[in-house]
Amino acid sequence: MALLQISEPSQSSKPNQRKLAVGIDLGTTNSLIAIVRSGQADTLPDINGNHLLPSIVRFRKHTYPQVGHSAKNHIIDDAANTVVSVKRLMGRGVQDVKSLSNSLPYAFEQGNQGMLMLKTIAGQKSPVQVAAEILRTLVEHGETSLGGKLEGAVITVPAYFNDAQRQATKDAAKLAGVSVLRLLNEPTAAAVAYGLEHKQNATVAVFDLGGGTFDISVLKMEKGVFEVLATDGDSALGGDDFDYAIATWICGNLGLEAELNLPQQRYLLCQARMAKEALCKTESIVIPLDQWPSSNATVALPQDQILLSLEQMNELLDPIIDRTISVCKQTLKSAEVTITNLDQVILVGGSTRTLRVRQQVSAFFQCQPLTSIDPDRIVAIGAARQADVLVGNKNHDELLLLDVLPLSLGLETMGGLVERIIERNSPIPAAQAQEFTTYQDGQTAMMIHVLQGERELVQNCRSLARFELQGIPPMVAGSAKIRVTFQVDADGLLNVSARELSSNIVSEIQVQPSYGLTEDQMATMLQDAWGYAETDQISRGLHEQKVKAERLIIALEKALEADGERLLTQDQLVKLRKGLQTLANLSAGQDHEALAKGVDQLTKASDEFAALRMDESIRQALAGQPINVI
Amino acid sequence: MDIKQNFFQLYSLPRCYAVDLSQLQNRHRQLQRKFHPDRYVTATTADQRLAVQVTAYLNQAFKTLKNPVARGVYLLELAGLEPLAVSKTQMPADFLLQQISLRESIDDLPKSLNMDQDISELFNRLQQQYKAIEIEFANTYGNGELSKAEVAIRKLQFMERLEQQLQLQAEVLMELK
Repeated sequence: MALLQISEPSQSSKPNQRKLAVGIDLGTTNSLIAIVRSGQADTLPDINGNHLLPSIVRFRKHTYPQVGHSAKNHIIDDAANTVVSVKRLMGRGVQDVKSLSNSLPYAFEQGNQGMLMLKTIAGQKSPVQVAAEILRTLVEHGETSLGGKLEGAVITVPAYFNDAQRQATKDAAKLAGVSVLRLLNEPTAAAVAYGLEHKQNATVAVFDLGGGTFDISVLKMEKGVFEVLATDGDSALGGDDFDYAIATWICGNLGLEAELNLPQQRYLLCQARMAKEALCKTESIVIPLDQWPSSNATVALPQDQILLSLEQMNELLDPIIDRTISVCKQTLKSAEVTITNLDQVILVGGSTRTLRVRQQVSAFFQCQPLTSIDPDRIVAIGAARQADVLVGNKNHDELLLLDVLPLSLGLETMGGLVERIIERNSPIPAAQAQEFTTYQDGQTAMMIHVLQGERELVQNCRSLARFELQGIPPMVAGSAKIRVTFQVDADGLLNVSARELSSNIVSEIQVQPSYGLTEDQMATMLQDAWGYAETDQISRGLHEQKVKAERLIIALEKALEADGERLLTQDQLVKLRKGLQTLANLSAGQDHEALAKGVDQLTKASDEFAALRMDESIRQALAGQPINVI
Repeated sequence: MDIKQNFFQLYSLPRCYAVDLSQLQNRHRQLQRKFHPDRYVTATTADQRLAVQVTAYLNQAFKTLKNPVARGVYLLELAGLEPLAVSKTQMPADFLLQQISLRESIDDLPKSLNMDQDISELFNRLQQQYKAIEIEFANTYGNGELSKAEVAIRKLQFMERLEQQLQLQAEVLMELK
């Protein structure tokens, strides 16, 4: 039963052609794109030889935004329109960001439904749009240097990203016109990069401290299987906080009490970062402040430089590093692994370059951490490895990633309490159903409020979505049975459906995060993006649909040939064959919307057949194995 | 898609309480390799969706069969019972008395003069009882005495919680040391 060995549309014409699949690390500070060539995975440099693209976007009036180094040159002189560290804003609401905002130098405003928008000269921009600009730049660069259209990308996210943050990342990819093969957790990607290089069985911890996010994962690596045992982190903790601590110290020392304007804040943060980086090599540094942007400001500086010693800086950083260490303790416990039976610690993320971080991590784990792969590039390299396997360039048996859900998922119940449905650290994909009942006589509707987090109270968890199940037949309180099913896919994204069991009323949603983009907003943004894109996005859309259609046609033809006569009635067979013909005709045309509809229709029509085949495949999977060896 | 195979059929294992855990683990891995959504990235969307469902079902099956309490409960549920229903909270009096005494022993640990030894003795006592109840369940279930098996699995659930409490208490005491 060859359900898995479906040949690719593009393969059928050019059998030996490798598919172009990339790994993308969309970072807080820098982003990278990587690819596997002749068995070697490496990041792609730009024309100037830079592997790192600064995750900075500068919006301009009536013209394309600048991305990367060219945008970076303007972070002080055009601070208001130059967005940095956008990853920290992904999937967050305005209220949500207020807790972060003292360390975030931006001008935000509130969009629809509390959604966060950035105010720029080119209009309101959602963080998703900003991230899409970065992705678009990387993809264009990738396609130019590889000389072809990308099949798709594995995009990495912090393991601790919640559903809304993951969805936002996926939306950004959609806006950028890149197909997401998988969202991969950053620490897992790093473990893959190391594990495939060293090919040994081991239990490892991955300590990943980036510009704005912190992750720790504990994994077991065995014969190409990477099994995450536990993961934890803080999606609002990173090197940016180091810079902020140093900048605050400078303010305190210079007696700056008045509110600083945006360019001044940016300037201080830049100087703080330079000092932090310099103190890897020296015991103390004189921080120059002579470029202080004071032209339009009321705040003057009492001196134009300040001395910071390594010791002083360590004192500033220790409270932040301590937070990461206490998370590590917790994670080891969840993974049921002790420091003594941990084989290795892998350091990932630019902020692990800071000497103090290395010292404290070594001290806690009682070992010398692995740093042989560049901590800035390792994540993208791991992602490229997985992308290569996913599209079938490499034998699937070489790599299997088994990841977990980072944060528990639950529902609001009476009294503002959260009932957990799927516990964190459960292997994904995961599904779990739970039954609830009505609390009033004659109740005909039920509000389903989906939450993510570890706390008992609704107000302390992240609200993911609310939806209403209507049409429950009126009954005595407590006698209706409503089954709510949570399903988490391999990207860590949640799907919720609810069903009233006596009447079979069904309500299903793909969780639309409370602060996420609605379908309409996405459609408008897609149009905007196409309006000014250099490459023809419509032809990209058509190409995508054609690939989908072709894939479906080939797969279905094969399946019909193999099992159609056996599993289907004559009627069903005729119907599917007709559907195939219709789609083939649409695929020859140029109407991408009609084609998308056609793909949808044939997919629906062939659903049952696919399920029958899958069922047979399950029954045969262990065929030939002894039933009882006990 | 409604997956028709129960968890035992899924792993081609006999429907009984005793499960060879290493065999379960091997077969789980084998099925994951075949059905994980990563294997279906270039397949049709229908197959992709099915792969997510099948793998989620596999993960649930593995978790259930791996855990002694969950496995017992599942066996009884397959037989049409609801061993954990709220209406069934009656437990034998002698068992409850024994639970109270064990709980007191855990609560008294901070006062212990010989803590390490007391903790490990308590762990041993709990484990012995746990094993005895497992045998009780396997036998009653095997003989088709399902209402007795229901009581046994609830006892096992009590013991599981007690062991977790002891674990927690021991960790706290070790931290303090």
